[in-house]
Amino acid sequence: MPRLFASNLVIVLLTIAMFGFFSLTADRFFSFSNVETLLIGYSFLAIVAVGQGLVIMARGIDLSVGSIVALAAMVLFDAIMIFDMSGLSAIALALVATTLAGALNGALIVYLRLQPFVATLATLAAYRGLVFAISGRQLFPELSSKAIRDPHVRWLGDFVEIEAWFGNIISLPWIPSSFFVLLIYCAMVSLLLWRTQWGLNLRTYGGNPEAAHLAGLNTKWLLISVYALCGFSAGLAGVILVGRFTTATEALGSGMELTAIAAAIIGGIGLQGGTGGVMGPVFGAFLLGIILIGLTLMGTSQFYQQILTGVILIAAVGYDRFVANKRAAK
Amino acid sequence: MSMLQARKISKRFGNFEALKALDFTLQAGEVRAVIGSNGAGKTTMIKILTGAHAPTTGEVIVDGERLGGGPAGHIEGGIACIYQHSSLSPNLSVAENLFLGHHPRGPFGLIDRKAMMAKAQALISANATQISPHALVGSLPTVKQKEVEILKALALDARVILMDEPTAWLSFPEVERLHDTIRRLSARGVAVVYISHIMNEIFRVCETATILRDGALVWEGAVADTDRAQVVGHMLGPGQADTERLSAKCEIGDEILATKGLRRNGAFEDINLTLRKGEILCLTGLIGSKRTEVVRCLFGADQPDGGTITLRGKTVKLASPRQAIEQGIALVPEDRRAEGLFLSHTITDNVLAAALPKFLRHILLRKPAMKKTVDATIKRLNIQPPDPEKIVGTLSGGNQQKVLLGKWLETDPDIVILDEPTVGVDVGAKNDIYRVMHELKARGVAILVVSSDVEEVQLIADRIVIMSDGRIVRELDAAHVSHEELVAEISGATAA
Repeated sequence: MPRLFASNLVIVLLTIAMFGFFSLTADRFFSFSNVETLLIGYSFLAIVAVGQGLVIMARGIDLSVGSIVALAAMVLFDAIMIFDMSGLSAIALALVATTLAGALNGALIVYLRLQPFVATLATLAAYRGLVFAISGRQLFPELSSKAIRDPHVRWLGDFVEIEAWFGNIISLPWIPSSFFVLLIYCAMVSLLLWRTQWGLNLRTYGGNPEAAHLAGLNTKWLLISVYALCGFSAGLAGVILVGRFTTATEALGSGMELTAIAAAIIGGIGLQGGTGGVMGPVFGAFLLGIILIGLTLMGTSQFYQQILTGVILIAAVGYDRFVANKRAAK
Repeated sequence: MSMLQARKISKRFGNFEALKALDFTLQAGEVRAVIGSNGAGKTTMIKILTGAHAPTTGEVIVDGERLGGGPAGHIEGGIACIYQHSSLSPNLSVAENLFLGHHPRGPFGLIDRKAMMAKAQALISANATQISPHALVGSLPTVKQKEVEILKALALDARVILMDEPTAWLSFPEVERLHDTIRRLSARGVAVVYISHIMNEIFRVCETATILRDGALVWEGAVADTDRAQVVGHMLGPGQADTERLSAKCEIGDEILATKGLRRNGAFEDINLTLRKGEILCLTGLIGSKRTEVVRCLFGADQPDGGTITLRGKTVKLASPRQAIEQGIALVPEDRRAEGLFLSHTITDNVLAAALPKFLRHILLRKPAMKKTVDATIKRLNIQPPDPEKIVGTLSGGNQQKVLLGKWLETDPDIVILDEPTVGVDVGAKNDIYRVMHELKARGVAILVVSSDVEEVQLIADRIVIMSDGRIVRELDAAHVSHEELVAEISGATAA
């Protein structure tokens, strides 16, 4: 699909440029192991950003994604360690739970008419509290030092040797499984966004909520389902993180909402709604990753990196306003 | 049988009757103008026809079928509406907008883009317009967007299309294009309801007209059987020859405010006004003659692009409302809910909001003095109920207007500008407002009133300035003008 990249041209070029810049300036940046670090460190964030992007397209915001990531992880941990469920059914349970958590966000916004910012700020706290309440590591302290051994869960945190696919002729970096999950997920969400009635309704609502209402679209169901899908995305990321760490911690995903929102906005999801796509937030996430890893390799302090994330976010929002104003002035 | 029948539809909002048992019928292919001034009930009528409001009593019938089920039900029933503000999604393509909510589907329920584009192209060609179905709606000029909205209505098999001020954002050739489209629709048997205040357009494109005033029908018939002056006369209401004019009794003092060649691009030009102490000057004309834009400049809310404003003999530049207030100017805006009042606060908070510095002793507010002032204001303006702690949002329109008036009176202004002060206000409150204006006038305050209500203008004005399309077309001495002359001037202004 040409439009998939046409709208993302700026962010794709910027990502390539940044990759080139750090390859030249940062020691050891241009290496297989670094690409592996980037992919494993930011694929799950890209998945969260895709879900966040959909919510922002619908003129909302979801601050609770970080807590939902932890909720997915804790449900998965409990299901396997306490209730001895199989890995696959435990993953399914965790995803259902987070989808419901997302749907509850939507329901609060639709039925109680709360501002998305307020509703999800409240659930940010509430879901985090829930994670502590159901934490198997707190309820059964002996579990806290045990690792999950289920092969399906472990696979999510593992790498795939793609060299073998090409007959071991050339040397290639190992690709984390989570990156493949990301690719499949992006393909599915793209299809949903560009080729289904639901996707069109979402983009219509984002562009002009009044138009969607007057056209008789079921906007309540639309909003609830968008937040549910965002919850599902965060859940998927949480499950991937459990695969990588082989355990779940209560503080998992704290502050991730900020990075996910930044990635979505850097990825060209317009704050005025309706514009943007699926690939934008993915590139946005990896662009953030490239910059932060690059700076780490250059020896910049962690604190400056946080400041920089904020600066990048403001720059992206500023650019978004600039483009919107230019369009309005026309 | 009629294609559309609205039988005895009425709508109440609390105590306010916005529409009173209106009968409205349309034949296939008819182009009907609906005319009325602000608050006449046009908007309520549209909302009932589109299903956005359920009528308090009455029913809407299309081709013998009674409609219900909110907006979706009325769309299904064949009524579509082109709203004043776009109801398209600017970020979607033309084709995506055309079939909003009912796009052609292919295998697996996925949207069949090819079929959608082909269907859109067929619809566009059938209506003899040239728009690419691939184009982003946000990138099209406004008239094309209106055409897309009409096509969107046709894609739903609409048999009745309502158009609410469809030409508000169009240039002259674009208006012509739109009228051609309307004639084509009419030839195909689609009935069009054309809501507009622009007389030229109504006489050019409409066959019949319905005139509303105060929520009731005042005239209905063929456009060919009437003329401009008659239509405007019906719209503005009968004059009261024996009304005691408030203005005759006062001395008029020195000039306090004057403008010379005032101009704001795209709104008005060459505005020369003078305003004297103790005088009520009425700025009248039909809706859209840019009177509000002029007073916004006098209050510093907008900046003029040319010309000068002279205050007490000195040329001034009013960069903000704050500066205007410091110069003793007060503005009571037309949209009091959006621009004037803190609806969730009390009468006390609202009345004193602009005058708090008066009640400061060092850094603390003097509560007893505040209470005394508010009680006096409530009494003077006859605000009902007389409770200083009442939340303003719960008051009636007339009392809200009085609170707003009270707020500005507390700043002791020399010049008071009132923009449509009695729209949506009941008769009793109107008289209270007139009485206060008279008191101010007796104190030597200069008053500039923007009003479309001819009766009101005759009642209160010392001088009348008529505007049309951003220009002053006539200045009259209120003492020597009859109701008929005034109506003729205002409607004639539209012909120019």
